[in-house]
Amino acid sequence: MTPKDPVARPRPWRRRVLLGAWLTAAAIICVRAVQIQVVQSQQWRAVAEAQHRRDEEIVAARGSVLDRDGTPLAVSRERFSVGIAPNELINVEAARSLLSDALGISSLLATQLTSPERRWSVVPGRYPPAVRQQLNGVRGIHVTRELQRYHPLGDLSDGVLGLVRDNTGSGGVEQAFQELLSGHPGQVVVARDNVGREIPGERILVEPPRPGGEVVLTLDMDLQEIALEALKEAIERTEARGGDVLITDPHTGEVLAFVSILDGRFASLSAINTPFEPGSTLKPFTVAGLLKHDIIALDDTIDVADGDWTFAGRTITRHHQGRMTVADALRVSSNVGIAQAAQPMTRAQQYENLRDFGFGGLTGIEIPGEVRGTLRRPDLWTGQSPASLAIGYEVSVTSLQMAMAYGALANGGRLMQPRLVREIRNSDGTVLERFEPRVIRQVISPRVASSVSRVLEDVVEDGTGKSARLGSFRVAGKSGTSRLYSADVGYEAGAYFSSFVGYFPAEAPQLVVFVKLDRPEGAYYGGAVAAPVTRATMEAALAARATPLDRAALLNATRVSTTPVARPAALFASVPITAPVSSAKDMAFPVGLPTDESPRLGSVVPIPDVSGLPSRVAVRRLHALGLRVSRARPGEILGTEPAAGTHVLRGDTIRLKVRRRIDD
Amino acid sequence: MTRLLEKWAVDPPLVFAIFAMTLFGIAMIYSAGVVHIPNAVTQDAWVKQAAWFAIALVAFTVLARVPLRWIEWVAVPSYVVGVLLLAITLVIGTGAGTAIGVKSWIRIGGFGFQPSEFAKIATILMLARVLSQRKEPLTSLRDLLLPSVLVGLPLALIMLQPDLGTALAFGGILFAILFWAGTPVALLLLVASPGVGLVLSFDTRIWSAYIVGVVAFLYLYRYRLFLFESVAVVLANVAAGTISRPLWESLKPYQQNRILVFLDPEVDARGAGYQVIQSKVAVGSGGLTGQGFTLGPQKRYDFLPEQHTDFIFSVVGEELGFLGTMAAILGFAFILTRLVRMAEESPDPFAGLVLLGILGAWLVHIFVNVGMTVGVVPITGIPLPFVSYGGTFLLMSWVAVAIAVRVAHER
Repeated sequence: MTPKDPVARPRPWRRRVLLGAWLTAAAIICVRAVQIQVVQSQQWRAVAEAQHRRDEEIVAARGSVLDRDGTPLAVSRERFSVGIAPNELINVEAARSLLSDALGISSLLATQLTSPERRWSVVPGRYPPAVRQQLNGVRGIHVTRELQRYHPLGDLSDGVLGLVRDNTGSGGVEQAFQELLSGHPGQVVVARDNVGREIPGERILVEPPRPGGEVVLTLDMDLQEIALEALKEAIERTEARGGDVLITDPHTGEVLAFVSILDGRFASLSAINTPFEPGSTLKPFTVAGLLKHDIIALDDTIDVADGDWTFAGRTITRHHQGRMTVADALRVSSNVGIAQAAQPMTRAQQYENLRDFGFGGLTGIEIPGEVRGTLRRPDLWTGQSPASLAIGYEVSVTSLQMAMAYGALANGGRLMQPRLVREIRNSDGTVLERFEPRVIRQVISPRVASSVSRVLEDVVEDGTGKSARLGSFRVAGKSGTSRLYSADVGYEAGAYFSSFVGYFPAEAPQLVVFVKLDRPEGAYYGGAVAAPVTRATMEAALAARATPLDRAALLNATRVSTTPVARPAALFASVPITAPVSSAKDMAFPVGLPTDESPRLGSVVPIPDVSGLPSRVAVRRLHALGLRVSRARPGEILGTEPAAGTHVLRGDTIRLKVRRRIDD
Repeated sequence: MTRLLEKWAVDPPLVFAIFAMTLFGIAMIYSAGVVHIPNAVTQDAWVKQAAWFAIALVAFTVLARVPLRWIEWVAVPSYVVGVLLLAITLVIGTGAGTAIGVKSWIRIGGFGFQPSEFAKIATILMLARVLSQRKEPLTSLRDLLLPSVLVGLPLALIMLQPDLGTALAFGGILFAILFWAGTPVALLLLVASPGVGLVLSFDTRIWSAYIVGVVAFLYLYRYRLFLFESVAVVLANVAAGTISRPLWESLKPYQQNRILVFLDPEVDARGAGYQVIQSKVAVGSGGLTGQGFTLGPQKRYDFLPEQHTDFIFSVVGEELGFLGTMAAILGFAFILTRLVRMAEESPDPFAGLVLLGILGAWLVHIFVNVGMTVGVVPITGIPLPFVSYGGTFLLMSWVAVAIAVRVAHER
């Protein structure tokens, strides 16, 4: 160190230390650069790829659910949701007016959504595909495809169809056939930026989605509509909490209409998941069991004495006195009569008889949620159980079990498995599987079945089921009224189930109609409350165009003997109307409750103005006048052909002009 | 023409290297703006940077012709002004961009500048002037007191903004100038020892061993130091060890996080560790030759943070690869080496110290900035000279270049 000039001339080692320090720093950086950019570069590149390359699924179009005629009940449609990234917009004003034009949103909303303070906003609602063409390619506006489940006929069969959430069926057919309907999602590799926005031109399709297959139901939308209207009307009239209407084909077990309403909800499945004590509607099966085992004949008499009968501590209230035949006991629905008649049956016989008719077991319908009801094993019975069971107590059944059991009576004693699905198809329409009718068992002989049927005809002609009488065909049926039982309060005062099951034409039944009303107010006897619903349903079914009725067979069916034979012209439009107008007075044809003034057959009616109405309502109005309807598609009615006001004969076919819904 | 350019540059190797580096920076800023969904700020940044470059060239041309003595003379007033400006900044200063919470900028109308950049040069001049006028060598701690205070004052004001990165640069200036002024290395190490002790105090045993080492060193070195100096060093070390925990707890959570994240970025991968991880991913995925200019996916798809300012070097790494990284490092190596050579060749003590001050500041900037993008240094908001976007910083860096060539070539 030179004391004179210590600063000006640093020794060379200072320069070397300085360079050394600086080279050390550079070396640290370089070693690190070699490490991450040369040695580990593949690894870091993989991390980078993983951050913005993503494997994504393309949701496959969910298959449709159709009714038996191919009318779509549940379809998937493309919808688009619109998101906005305000800070990406080039021209905010132009974007605002574009948004309010294309989406029909208010300019106030458009202003809020494009406010620069927001990073991301979502336009409420889903929009039809046309919106994509308008908005695609505009920077800052992001259109996302979604598949939305849509019921073209509205809530007509919501319970049976079930819901779809996140492309997963929840309840009903949607759940039962999830695998088939959902199809197979496609695979795509997309690049997304840090905020999740897709990078254009970086999309690689690995595997296209395979759309889901179709499910064709046995339901007939005309009958479904009829059943729903009849039930709604009945619930409104009786202030019931709910009810079920089932229409089945007794020969095939096909469910043609399935309607359950509970507390105003149409999506209920109470017909299969809410068992009830049936009461008198079970009595025919007791009688069938007695006949099957040759224990008693229909014309054997029973002594009902003074009416009341105490059996093992339970008093069965009288309704009738003296002696009566078994057939009469069933016809007038005598509790004492049936209970006494059933006494000779062993417990095993009684239990097996009911079990063979399907009570206490699952019917095997395709949709989830079915319950068995309760039919206790004989070793759990009390002393009074045989008598209770004979008249429909101490047993709980579902509406569907009941409809199927009556189907067995109408079908020569063969119990059928209920079917809701006719066939399943591939997305291209090829049939994957067609489901054939399945006989569960021959419960009773055809002879016993027809004997019981004949008594049930009398029930409608002349017994407790008179309100179900049709003017045209003989109907077999049975009413039932039971009190609501709950575990905590026992039998609840004033709370009843009213039910009626009927099938027609009685000697060659084509339809079984089951009606149950849950806690109707006022009159509660099944014969008074439920039977008219059955009748209204049957009448409307006869009038409707597309019902799966075998009309040729109906021509040969026995008409109601008490009324003059008239040719129901409205059924067969090709047959010229020759019936005298006067004789059609009692035909009560084709729709309406007993209080309604029913339109008469063969007369001339003006076509009502139905324009502006939904087609369901319009069709129903025209049916009520005995007119046939073609081209009934969902949508708003523009008019009819011939035009409103034109006078036409009942039975003529009216064409509907339907405006397609904008969003279809 | 060539002669004219050489004359303009005064020191052609240094100036043309820096000129090229600035153009490279503008290109990288342009690339940083090329993203999948452009945004107005980064998109046009390169144009602004180019405009600032033009201004910087004018400033350079003028300042490179100012006589050395004028520069020496202006040191004291500019230091006073610099410190005053820093004090004012603490009152009326504002933040910018992601550092919106700090007070680093003074805005007048639409124009904003960072007084700390000006103060940096002023401090270099001041320190060089004070030390070059000393007649005795710097041999005791007492001799280091004045230089430390001269640097400590602006440094403290900058720490209050707070701007840790720029404050670190002041540390670089102090040590580089003291070293060049002939301070014994042992003394510099002792000055630095409380800082080392602060870091080591996280573990009591290591720290105890360290204190024993310091005391042993002082004992062996005892004939060169006054007793009070030894005592001061020990006390400072003990104090540093004692205050380390309260100091740690006084740090803001985000500051603590940055240090924790440096040790293990995954502790907060979506938060404080995000920048480190993303920067490493970008640089690493560049590989040997890079993804191509403007084509780096991590940058394009918005994964890189601050890609045109503090993390511009991540863009270099991703798009130009290892070769680009090395080229940039070599470029800086050349510039720094050239500064050392100029300092060595300069006959004037003031000139040498100024050059070393500039070198110290740039060395800290380059090492800390590049180091953090590759994950060898904790994240500190510090820009890369001539490359990162930033008007004041570019202008002041070129002012430093002008002063450097002027003082080095004054004969």
